[in-house]
Formats: sequence, C-alpha cells, structure tokens
Amino acid sequence: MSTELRIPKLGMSMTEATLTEWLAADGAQVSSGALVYAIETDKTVTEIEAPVGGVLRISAEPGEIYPVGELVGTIE
Amino acid sequence: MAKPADAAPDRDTLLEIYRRTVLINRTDERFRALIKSGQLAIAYYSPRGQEVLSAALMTALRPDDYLVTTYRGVHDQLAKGVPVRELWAEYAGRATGTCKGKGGPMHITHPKTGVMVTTGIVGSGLPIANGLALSSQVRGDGRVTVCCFGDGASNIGAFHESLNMASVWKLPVIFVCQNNGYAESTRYADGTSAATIADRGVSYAMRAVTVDGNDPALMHAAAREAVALARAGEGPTLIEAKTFRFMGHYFGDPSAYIPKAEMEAAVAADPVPAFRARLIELQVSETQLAAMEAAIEAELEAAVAYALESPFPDAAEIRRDVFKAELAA
Amino acid sequence: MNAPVNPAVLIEKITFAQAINMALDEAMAADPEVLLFGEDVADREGGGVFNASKGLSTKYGAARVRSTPISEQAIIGAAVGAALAGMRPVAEIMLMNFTTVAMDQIVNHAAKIRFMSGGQTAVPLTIRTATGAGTGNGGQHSDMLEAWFAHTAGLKVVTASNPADAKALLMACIEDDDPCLFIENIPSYRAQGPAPEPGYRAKLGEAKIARAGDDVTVITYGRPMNEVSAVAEKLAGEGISVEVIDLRTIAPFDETTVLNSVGRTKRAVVVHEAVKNFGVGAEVSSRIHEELFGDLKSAVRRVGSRFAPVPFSPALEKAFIYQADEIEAAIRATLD
Repeated sequence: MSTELRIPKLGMSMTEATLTEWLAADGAQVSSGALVYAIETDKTVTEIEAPVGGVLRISAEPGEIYPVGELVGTIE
Repeated sequence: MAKPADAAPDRDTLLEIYRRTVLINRTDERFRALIKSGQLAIAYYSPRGQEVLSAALMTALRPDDYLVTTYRGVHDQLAKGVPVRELWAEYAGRATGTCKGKGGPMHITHPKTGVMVTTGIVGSGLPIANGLALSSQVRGDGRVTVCCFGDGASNIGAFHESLNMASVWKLPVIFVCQNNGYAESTRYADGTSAATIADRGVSYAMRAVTVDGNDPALMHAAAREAVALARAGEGPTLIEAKTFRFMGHYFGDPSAYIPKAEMEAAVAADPVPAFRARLIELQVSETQLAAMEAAIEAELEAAVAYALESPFPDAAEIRRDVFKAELAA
Repeated sequence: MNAPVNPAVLIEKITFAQAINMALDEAMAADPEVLLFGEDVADREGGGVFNASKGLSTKYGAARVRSTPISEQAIIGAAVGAALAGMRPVAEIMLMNFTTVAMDQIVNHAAKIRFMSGGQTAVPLTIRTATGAGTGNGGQHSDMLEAWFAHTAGLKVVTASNPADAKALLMACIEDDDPCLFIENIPSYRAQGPAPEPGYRAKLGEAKIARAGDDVTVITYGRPMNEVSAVAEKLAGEGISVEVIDLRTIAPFDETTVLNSVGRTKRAVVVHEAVKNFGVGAEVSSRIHEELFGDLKSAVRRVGSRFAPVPFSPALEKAFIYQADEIEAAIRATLD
C-alpha cells in the first residue's frame, strides 16, 4: 500500500507550482509529518509534510513546474 | 440638530440663497403647469418643499465643485448653476438641451457648472461621488464633491459601501441626505431601522450631522462647515437635511400614504414663504424681493419659449456618443 | 535535463501575468492620471491575487495604487467618478463573477454616461477582471460572461490569446476614451509566450489573422486559440487549410476582417469558452449569415462550453468545457 504525493491546490488562484526541492532523499525512510518537499508559487514557498511514514519514492524533478494534482512521488 | 454656526450667513448670502430658492420654486411651478396642460410628457419628481435646502447647500460651494444628484434633482441642478434655458430644453427633449435631449429629466449633466451625473438609480450616485472626490484628492485640486440623495437611498448597499470607502480614504466628499420622510410611498420608520440617517455615520466613523434643511441659515452653516473640513483634507461628512416634499413621490402621486395632518402641518411651515417673511424681517425691502422675483420669472418665460421652440434632435444622434467614435449608419 | 536545444527557448518569453504587469507599469509611467485600485492590489496585500499589480504601489505610491474594501459597487463607482473627472482609472474586479454585484455601475453608468450626457462627459475607465474554467473553483468563480457586456451599448470588451497581445491590448484599453472591460484568463496567467517587441501596440476593434488559410475560417478569442491553433496545425497535415481569426476585441468586433475572410473561405466556425447558448458566437454567426448567406458553402458552426454552471468536480468540469475534438468536428462538418 503506497500513499501518493500530489501537488496540492493552495488557494483559488493556484493552478501550478514549481517543485523547488526535495527535503528527503529518494528511498529514505520518512516519518509521518516530516517535511519531504517544497513548492513555490507566485505567492509563497510551502513545505509539504509526509502524510504517512514509510519509504519515499521520488518521481518528479526539482526545478520543474507541475500542475495542481500532478503525482510527484509516493510513500511506501 | 446641529447648533447654529458661529457665523450665520450674511445678508448678501441670504439674498443669494433666496434668489436660487425662487428660481427653483418658479421653475418647478412652471414644470407642473406644462405637465398638467399636456405640453410636457415626462415623469416628474417635484422638489416642491425642498427648494431652500438646495439653495442654501449649493451657495456654500465653489462653481467648480462637483455635484452628483438624483432624479429628484432639479432643485440641486438649478442651485448649482445649470442654465435654466438648457435645463428646460433638455426636459423638453430638444437638441438644445444640456444633453442634446439624450439624457432627459432624470439624467441632467452640465460639467461646466460641476453637475457631473444625475442618476435614476437610487443610491448609485454615492460610489461615483467618491471617484470624483478621489480625483481631487490625487490631483490636489481643492475641489469638493457633494452627493445628494433621499432617505430611501440609505437602505441600498451602495450607500454603505460608499460611506465606508470615503471614510477609509478620507475623501473630500459630502453626502447630503435630503430626508423628506418618505421612500417613494413608504414612511421613513417603516423602511429604515436607524432613528436618524446621521446615526448611520457612526458605523463608518464618519462625521455626521442632522440639520433642519428648510432653515436657510442652519443648512448653509452645516454645508459650509462640511465643505471647509473636506477642503482641508479632514475627510467626508454625512449631512442629514430634514425636509418635506409636497407633491408626493412623482407628480400625479395621490399621496394617500401621507396623513392629512402631517401634510397640513408641512404646508403651514412651507419654507419658501417663511424665508421671504424672514428677509422682510431683516429689513430687505418688498420692492427688492419683488424685483428679484420678476427678473427670475422673466428669465423663466424666455427659457420655456426657447425650449419649446427648439428643434428635436436629429435621428442620426442615435449613433453619436455611444462611443467616442460615431457608429456606422 | 538533456533535452535538445530548441532555438525557440532563446527568444525571450513572458507570462500573461508579467504582460499585464508590464502594461500597467508602462501606462502608469506614461500618464500620472492613470490610477489603479481593487481588492488586494497594493504590495502590502500581495500585489493582486494573481500578482498582476505586484510592485506598482511601491513604485507609484499609495495615492495612485490602492487596495480597496471588498466593495465592488464602490470600486467601479470610484472608477466611474475618477474617469468623469478625466482621469484614467484601472479598476480590478478580482473575478468576473463579482462583476455581477457591480452591474449597476458598469451597465447603467459606465456604459451610458457618455450618451446620456450628450457627449459632455466620458468614462475612460478600464475594468480588469479574471475568470476561466478548469481550476476547480466551481460555479461562482469561473464564468465567461463577455456576452452580457458585449450586449450593452457603450462598453468595449477585450481579451487576449497571448501575452504580447495582452500587454498591447490592456494598454490600448487604458488609453481608450471609452469604458473597456479587459478579461484575463486564470488558467493562463503563468502560460508563456514570446515577449512583445518594444513599442508593440494593438488597436481596439482590430482582429488579427493568426493563421492564414483558404478552406475554412475559425473565429475565436482568448484561451481557445490554443486548441484552435493545434487543430489547424493537425488539419494542415491533411491538406485542410484553416484561417484563424483572433478577435481580440469582442465588442465592437471587427466585422470587416471576419466578413472578408469568410467571403473568401465560404465556411466558418466560431469558438469560445463561454457557454454556447446566446453567446458571442451567435452574434458573429448571425452577422456572417446576414451578409454572406448566398455565398456560404455550409452553415456556420459554433463551439462553446455546455449550458450549465461551471461544475466543481474535475470530471464534470472537463465535460463542461469546450473540447479540441469538438472544434475539429465542427471544422470537418463545414467541409462535408
């Protein structure tokens, strides 16, 4: 059972975000609530927490722009 | 009620207020006569009873100050200085009218005398008055904007939005509610929750006063004080000017909703003859007043003739002024 | 990333949001009578919910760039009044659906004052407003309402399909002596396009032939230009030559360009994001039929979104909005 990490919609005006960096490495064991990646919009930078504990699998490149809802990784 | 101002209007100012009062009063009388005889077919909102209010208010303004008023506005327009000939021609739908016959009685505009908008939508003048005042604030041109409306307008959303914005931005605007006691046919207390319109200023941290609008000295003093504050950058004032309209909401209104005793008391206190009597008490001669009245009546007769003899606008006018560039035929 | 070097990336690109910001900046620099106000437009409030006015209050000061209370009637009324005094206000109504609460000021006042005053006064204001389906914002934040305004005598209605035009058209609106409604598309704010040449200008009322063709004319404006361009490119591969007209000014629309083109191709499709029923497409189509009926080889087709409020669920929102394959089918239908 894996949990998907998707670009969140944070506000009415948000349609996409730049994934600025991964805060944990691919394959790392992360605990629930740990910061795993950061996104930047026109308005702000937001750090995203792991919704569950497990092994992080990264599937998106830092520096790239992704639309709201895009799958960027999983926690297994 | 506001206290009498330290400096009551001087004799010349009172005479000027009276001149404008008579101009309004006689114009209104002629409009009603021509409507009754079928020569003017217009929806008419008589200012009868509210003449002194406008005359005293506008006498506190500079010619280049802005005015925004409403469909019951002929008293405001004349007191502000709109030429009576062009006003009459507009009422008659003629090409020589202030607006070439395209606006009509409810939309008199005359920027040369500062009459920037007359609106037929209750309460909608207040947001526009803020914009005119904003232009003065940004440009520093020293003008103030006066916005007239009735007590009914204080119940529409635009009133509240506008008072709030004017207060937040400290705009040089004066909101004058001509409280004549009735919103169309509905008695004040049956449609308005606040005891006075001025009470509503409290919500917007705005200076607000209630004044007897039918008293030329008190009305003028209240206006002068508000104008001085606005010009000095001290922000807006809400003036609730108490008055009464004798002809109902529209000319032809049976006014059955106004209790007989109330109407009788109002007529007994008619501000126009009361003002004249006061001037006589102040030793203004009967001859002087009669000469002033006769001059106004002569001007008015010439204006009526001018209006009724003027041509109607050409049908091609329908294509002009929709945009700046004329539309194709 | 080891993508092959594309020469196109060497051309400077800007987003729609940047284009809007550049237009406002240039207009404010050029004319001290240009004012900007709306909800949250000043820098302390974030420079506009879409960042379109970012930096401008800092650069031009709090007197000229003002965040307002959430009071749309007061916002548009203030713009009407300032315009009556001869200034050039740009009022932002954050979302197009919020124009509904200011309709009295827009329709009864801004649009009519020049006419009702017999030309003594004018209202040279610009209303900027944003909208567009596809963002999951539901039925009150996404509507395209341009047909309402286009139906009102006295208003000009403008929208852009690319950032360079967005800048040029917004500047044209601000400089125009009539009230203009400038519509911005939310899902496109961060979309890029080539930066305009310095001094690139656009004239209101002039459509642009975005792609020349001989077989069928597609008339569109705003975001659907993306899908229309892609479909035209695809059909070109089959030997179908599509002419694409970007109206740019929706009202008054450039009838001459449209009628000249359709007079030649004898087939037309009108595409817009707004719901099809009673939309701008009906007016454009009707004008073509009135003027060119005998010459047409096919009835004019229309493509628009479904006749429903914009739905929230992504599945429904996708079903609501006009589709590229509908555009393609409509073009093919005119060729049958």
